[in-house]
Amino acid sequence: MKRPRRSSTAGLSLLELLLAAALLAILLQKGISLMQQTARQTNEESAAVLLEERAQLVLERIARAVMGSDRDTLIPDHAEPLSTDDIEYRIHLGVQDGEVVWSDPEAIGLEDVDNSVFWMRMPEDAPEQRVTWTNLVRPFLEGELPNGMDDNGNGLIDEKGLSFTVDRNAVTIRLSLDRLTSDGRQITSTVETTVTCRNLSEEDLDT
Amino acid sequence: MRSRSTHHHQRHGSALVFALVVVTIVAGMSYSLLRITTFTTQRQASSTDDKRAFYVAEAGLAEAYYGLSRGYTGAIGTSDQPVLLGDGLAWVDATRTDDEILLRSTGLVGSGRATVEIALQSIDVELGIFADEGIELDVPFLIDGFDSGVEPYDTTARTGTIQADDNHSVVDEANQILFYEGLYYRYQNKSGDVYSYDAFFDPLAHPEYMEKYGIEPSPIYDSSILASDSDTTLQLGTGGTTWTTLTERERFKYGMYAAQEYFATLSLMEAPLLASDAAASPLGPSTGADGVIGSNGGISLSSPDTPAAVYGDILHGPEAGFESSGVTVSGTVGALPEEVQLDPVRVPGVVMLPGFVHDSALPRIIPSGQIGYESVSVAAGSELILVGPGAAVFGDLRLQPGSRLTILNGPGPVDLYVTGTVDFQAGALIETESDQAIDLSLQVVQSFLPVQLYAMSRFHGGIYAPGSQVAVGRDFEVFGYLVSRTLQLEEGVRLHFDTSTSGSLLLPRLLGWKIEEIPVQVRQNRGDPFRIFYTDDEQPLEAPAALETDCWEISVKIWTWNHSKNNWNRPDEMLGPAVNYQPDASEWVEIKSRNFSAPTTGGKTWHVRATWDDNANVMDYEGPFESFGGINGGHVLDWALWWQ
Amino acid sequence: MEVVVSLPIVLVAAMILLTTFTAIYRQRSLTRENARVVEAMRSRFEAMRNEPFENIVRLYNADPMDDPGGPGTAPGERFPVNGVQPRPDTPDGGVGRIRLPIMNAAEEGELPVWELREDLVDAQLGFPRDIDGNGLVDEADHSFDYRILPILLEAEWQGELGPRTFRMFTVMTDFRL
Repeated sequence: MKRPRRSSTAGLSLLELLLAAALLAILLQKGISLMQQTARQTNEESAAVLLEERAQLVLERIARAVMGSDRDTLIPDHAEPLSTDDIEYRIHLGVQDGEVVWSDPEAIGLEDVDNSVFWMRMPEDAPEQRVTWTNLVRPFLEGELPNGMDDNGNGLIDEKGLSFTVDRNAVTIRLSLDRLTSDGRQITSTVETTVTCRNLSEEDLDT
Repeated sequence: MRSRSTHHHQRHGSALVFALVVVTIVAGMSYSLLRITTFTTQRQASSTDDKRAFYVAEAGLAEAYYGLSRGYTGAIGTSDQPVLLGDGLAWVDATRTDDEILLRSTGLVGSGRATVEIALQSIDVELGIFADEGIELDVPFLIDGFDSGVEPYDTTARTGTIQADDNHSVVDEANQILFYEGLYYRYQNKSGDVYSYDAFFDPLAHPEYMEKYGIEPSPIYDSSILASDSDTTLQLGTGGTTWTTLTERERFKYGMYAAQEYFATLSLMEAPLLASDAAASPLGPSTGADGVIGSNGGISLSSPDTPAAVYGDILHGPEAGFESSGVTVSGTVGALPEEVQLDPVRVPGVVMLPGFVHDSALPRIIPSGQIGYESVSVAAGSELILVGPGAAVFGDLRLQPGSRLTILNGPGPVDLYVTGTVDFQAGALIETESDQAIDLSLQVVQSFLPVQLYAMSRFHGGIYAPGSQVAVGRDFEVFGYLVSRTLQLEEGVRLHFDTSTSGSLLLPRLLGWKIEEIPVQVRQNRGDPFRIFYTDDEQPLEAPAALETDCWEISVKIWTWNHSKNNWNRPDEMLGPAVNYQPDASEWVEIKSRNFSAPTTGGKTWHVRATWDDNANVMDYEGPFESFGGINGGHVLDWALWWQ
Repeated sequence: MEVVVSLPIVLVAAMILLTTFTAIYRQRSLTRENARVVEAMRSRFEAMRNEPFENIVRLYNADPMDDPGGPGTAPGERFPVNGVQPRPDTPDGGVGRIRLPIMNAAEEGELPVWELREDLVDAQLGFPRDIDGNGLVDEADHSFDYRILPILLEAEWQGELGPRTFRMFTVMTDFRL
């Protein structure tokens, strides 16, 4: 008697089905967990990169303003360990009829109220113009606490999230931005650069 | 009832579909993430390249300013052919106005682009013969100027004779009528060449020329000159038919008459050109123009007994004045716009060797290069030879009477620095090989003892002693420039300002710096700049070499009948489309090149078109400037200069 | 059967995604490193600009004996970059180096004598060239009379993907004020 041929459409037993389902569930769970973790890290990474990019952009704007400014007009004039969170200056616009033309007074600083970096132009005979470059500034520079000490070891005391220090014709600009990610974690980006005022008078050579 | 096989068939492939969906989703996520990241990365890379390009642009400004200090235009490369700077390319546009120079530099590195600009105040003050604290001279002297880049002083300086009559007819010794009406000059230089200018007019009949050329009444005639001129025959004509040969006495008389009646309205500038010869005139031959004497203080010149002359301009201090008595001043008198800030002497830091007294009959040679000696004295009968190029620093430098200093600066420039005493005693001899003043400088650090220049010398060079009193002897003739704190001249000193040294002492002053907008076509194309501007077979020029390539100097001398204007033009108006100049009928145009080889810019060359009347024929030329011999004299009817 | 076939496909897809995330992370690390190096280099250029032009060579060369403020007081030719690790084979552990047109003019076996030379052969700095304004290239030491100064900053560090280098170039001169 021939053994009946097992049909190709024979199904799985319940045990096999449960085993397969369990394995599938475990694999899927691991896979989903991994993807979630990676997605979260990527989001954080993206946020951090975007934050750093924003910080670099603001820093570059400030740096260009300082480079084009007249050293004589740059106020205030704080050397380490003191720093300031705003500067006022004038930039060189060109020469007209043999006379050097300077811009209206401009200022860049930290607005404490909303932790924003602002740029302002203050013409004599017109309303002042004001632009906010970012509102993600930390109240104090990364690692710094308002305790009268240099907590982050950069030589400054209680420096704000945007700080300027001046050494002769060079200005060091420090900026810390922070933000919260979608899952509530805080990311911080701190950037720093030093630039010199290119518009000097002969007296500035001796400062 | 559905069969199991059918039901199973319906389930076939569903897992694969599911897998396909998952893969599609994953691919989409990966793609979008990569796109975002790539975009962010490109932006950051561009920002990095922008910073690199910024510093390359600043490098271009530095090279351009350096070029200005060396007498170039400041332009480097072009927007079509930028030059190599570091890892990138750059070009600098130089724009000149009357008072300013604008240098705009664009740098390109990778995808980065940056443009920066500086405004410079061009220093138009020619120091010439300059004394910081004022000038007070009461001896006869001669100050004039020349341009060694055009021709040496000796071929520029002139003696002259004048022939005139009171009937507006003039002839030469051969009784040839040179022109019929008016007055003219005939010049004879030391080489015996005779120049006749038939651009003439009777100022009394043409008052518009007096106004046009700014002629003011002033006596120029020196009766002693005509009296000593035995080679001139003065002939009178009346209406061109009757001629009388004058005796010497009559010549004197008519010459005086001519001076009083006709030359009285001519400018002073021509007077020294009428000196017949050096022996007759204590001033000797001169160029009659281009001298400059200046000071931050007042200038007082007097020479009551023997004539003294400044054939050129006088620039006194902004808060001071000018006085003169018995001194001919051919040019303008004015105040400096502001006090000139003289840069201190910067002595190279060389190791100073022990000094020596050279008293051997054999010459002692100081070879080319940088060297220093504490104190050097050259005794009578001995010779010290300095070989260029190089710089020599001396604690003291003394030349005893009978000693000799030879400066072989033909191979290259020589700079002498003295930190102590300079004592060139009378009877010593100084010879310079090069006749270009830029090839020799004597720079003296501030000294309480005067710089004594009493040796015999035709000193082709510059003397820069801004903190010292400089005393110049009669036998020390300077062809260059002289800058001192105070100046003392012996009777009969001749000082000749070489205008080719203009600007070599004072660099343009930085007025301002700013970041400029990047040119649109540069901003929009962010590809590899080397691929944009050059093919694989082409190599961009390096910046230092490019300084010389695009710099071109055209000398345009515009002569009127009694004035000469000498312009070395190298502004941007010469760089580009055709420059046409239609000279006034009374003006002559002389076109020459100076110093630089025929320039090429991206394969382009200078071309010139000129039409002129050389008094015999109307000539014309159009073609490369390299092949053009220039126009020397004659009436230029039209000329244009362009590069293609 | 399809499940068995599909699962590896899905897993491979997940691996691809994972790899993409990793690559993205590494790319961002690279650009972050670049940004830090560039910023450090810019600050270094600016610090040099902040000094009298005639002192730049002595402040930023490798010779401590010619420092303007006294031996060993100058910053020297090396500079650090925050957040970037030096290569293990770097002699003094520094990341950044300032390259000036300087050569050792001492004879073999003698103590080094550093000179600023026009006849230096260094294509990246644009040498040989004239730097003292006389239009000639000579063999003299121009440490005290240079009028233009090409400067190359180089950084070598151990990056995420291995050893990396970066360069920035500029030229400085002394503008008259």
